[in-house]
Amino acid sequence: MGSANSHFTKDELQEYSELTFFTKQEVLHVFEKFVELDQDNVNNDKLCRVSMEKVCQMPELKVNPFNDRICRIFSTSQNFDGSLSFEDFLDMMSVFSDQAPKGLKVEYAFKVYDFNEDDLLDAEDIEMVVSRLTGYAGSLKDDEMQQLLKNIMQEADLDNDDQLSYAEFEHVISKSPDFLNSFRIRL
Amino acid sequence: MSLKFRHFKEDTRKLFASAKLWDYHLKQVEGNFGSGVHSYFTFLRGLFLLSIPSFILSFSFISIPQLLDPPARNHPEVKFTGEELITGANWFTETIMYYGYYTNGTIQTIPGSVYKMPLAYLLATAGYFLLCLLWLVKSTATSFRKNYIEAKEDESDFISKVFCAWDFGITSDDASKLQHTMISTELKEILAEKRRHKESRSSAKKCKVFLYRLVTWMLYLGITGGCMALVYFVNKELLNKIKIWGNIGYQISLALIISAINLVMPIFINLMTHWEDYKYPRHEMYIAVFRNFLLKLGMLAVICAFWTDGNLKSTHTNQTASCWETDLGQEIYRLVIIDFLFTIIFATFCAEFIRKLLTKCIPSLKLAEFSIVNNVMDLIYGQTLCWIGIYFSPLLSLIIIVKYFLVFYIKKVSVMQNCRMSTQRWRAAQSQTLFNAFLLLSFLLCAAFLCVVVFLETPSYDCGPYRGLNRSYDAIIIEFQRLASDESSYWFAVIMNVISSVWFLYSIVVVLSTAVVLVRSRSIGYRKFAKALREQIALEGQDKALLLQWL
Repeated sequence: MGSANSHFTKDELQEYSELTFFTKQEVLHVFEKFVELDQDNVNNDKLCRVSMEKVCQMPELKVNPFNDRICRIFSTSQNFDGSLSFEDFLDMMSVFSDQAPKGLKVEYAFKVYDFNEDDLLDAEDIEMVVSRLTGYAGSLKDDEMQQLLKNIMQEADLDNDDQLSYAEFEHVISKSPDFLNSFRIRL
Repeated sequence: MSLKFRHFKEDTRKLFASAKLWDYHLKQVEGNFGSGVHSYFTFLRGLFLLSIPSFILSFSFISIPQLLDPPARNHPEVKFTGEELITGANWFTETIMYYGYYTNGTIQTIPGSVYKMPLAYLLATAGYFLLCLLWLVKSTATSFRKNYIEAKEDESDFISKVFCAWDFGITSDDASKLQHTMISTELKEILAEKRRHKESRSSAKKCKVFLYRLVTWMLYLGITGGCMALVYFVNKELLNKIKIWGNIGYQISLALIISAINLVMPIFINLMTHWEDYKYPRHEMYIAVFRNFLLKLGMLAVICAFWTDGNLKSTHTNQTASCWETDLGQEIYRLVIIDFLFTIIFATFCAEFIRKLLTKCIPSLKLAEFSIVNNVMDLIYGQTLCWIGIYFSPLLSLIIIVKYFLVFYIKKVSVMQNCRMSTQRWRAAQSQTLFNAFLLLSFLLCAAFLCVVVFLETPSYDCGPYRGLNRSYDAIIIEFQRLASDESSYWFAVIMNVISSVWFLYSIVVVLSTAVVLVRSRSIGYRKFAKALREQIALEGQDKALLLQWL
């Protein structure tokens, strides 16, 4: 605790807590988590980047099938390697926290599921999501996948272009009561 | 303005954040068992937190003043033996534990002040119920709004089954493996279901299902009626047997029977409901929960009706009989204790721990699943007991606090050590609303029962704060009359006259019904509006597609 405290000035903490959904104490707690990821480097330089492999060792991310996507969308790295600085990490934990508003969470969920980063969820993206979700437990058969895609599009694709725009995604997902319960990592 | 408000919100949150109880444990449970089991523990924590202010309320306004000026005991020869901890009777009978011990006089320990016990007793209990009501309405309304009104009711929504499927909070390998399997099977199941949906059930099969359900309902109603009758007769039989300081076996036998029924019947009811072949597992759960709830409440209703029954009071006037309020309080005390012991010994120790040991010898046997439904129903039942008992035994809330505390740790350890994750997905959000609604319902029933006791029933003749009165409520009326006749509180009398007049009541009813009509018509309007907007979106989509074709 004491060591984490000395890493930041009061003003820095104040600023962090204003820019995120955390209290100052929680910011320190997030920092402790960040230190755990890569003790040697972070203790030398609190602004250093932690590589994607190391971030994915965090218990919640380790088992998460979308862990690489999460790292990539929160990373501000210039060479797109998915590495996270402390500020990126704080940003990520803030989005996943209980206090983050639904709209923000939906926005990031959309980014996570948008594998080819074309700002649209098309059949390819959804297939990828489903196959990662089922994992080794056995993916769906082709005809099942087609049926699933058809049903999803029926449900959400309001303008019949066979892909989901952000507005369409948000429209259906924000009505799902399970969303807030699932898209959350507690500190 | 909004910034200030945000800061204010932030500050209050900080205050609460420092008092976040058991957060670490909750997170651990969620990490290993997902949000379903987690919702059970948050429910438990909510009840625990609710019972602390209630305890402070009743302890500081009822028990402490009485402790300052303790009345003499009628039976000073009775000594504490230890049996009391289970039976709640004997030595406990004449302590601040029960209604009968409280005085109908005033307490004047602090010079210059007069503390009227009967008034304090009623007002503190009323305050307790008001507190619970506010909490319940708030939590039910919040979860209802979040999970039903803002959400749509759709049995087969694929979107949330795909995009909300992964519980980002889980941390353990086993849980994640299970989650993969669960998602895969669930998706396959609903797809198959969708295909099957087109071919509906044949009329012969419908007929068969209908017959099944008819039979099970009859069976269920028969069993419930039987259990209630059993409770009644046992109660009646015991009354003849127990002298006031009777032996422990007789005293706890009723509580034992009820707790045993509560332990065994849910299993039977769940099986029965499963046999009825409901289309959706969710409906099956609702029906099973409702049946369990009705059975438990039915037995409690019999006990309450038994003790407040007029016949009983007339046969009960002999010298050995104590006051019925204390008796009812003791019965509730025993139910709370025995129910707790049964939960620990059978439901947790035998069904989970012993089973775990057995799995080591018999490999085909799997670890127990943590049944969220049954466990939550147990909590609701326990809380119902507390609400019924609080008037007759003000310190019951202390026992409930201790109980919740122990249950939390025991269940947590047991879940982490002896259970496996449920193989069925749990829709935490919507069942939370259901449980809140059940809790609210049982609260309202308890409140109604207590209203009957306070407004209609004659209190015991020679014990408790209302001895000698026709109804407990008269204590307040007398106080009002005294204030009204007092010169110095002239305005009070005027206000009371206005409030208690018929016209005042009428105008309140008129205002309330107007408000209801207004809100209702507004909600109908919004619904129409939303429908029109939805149609508009669809139309615009078609327009867009058409325009794209033209390009």
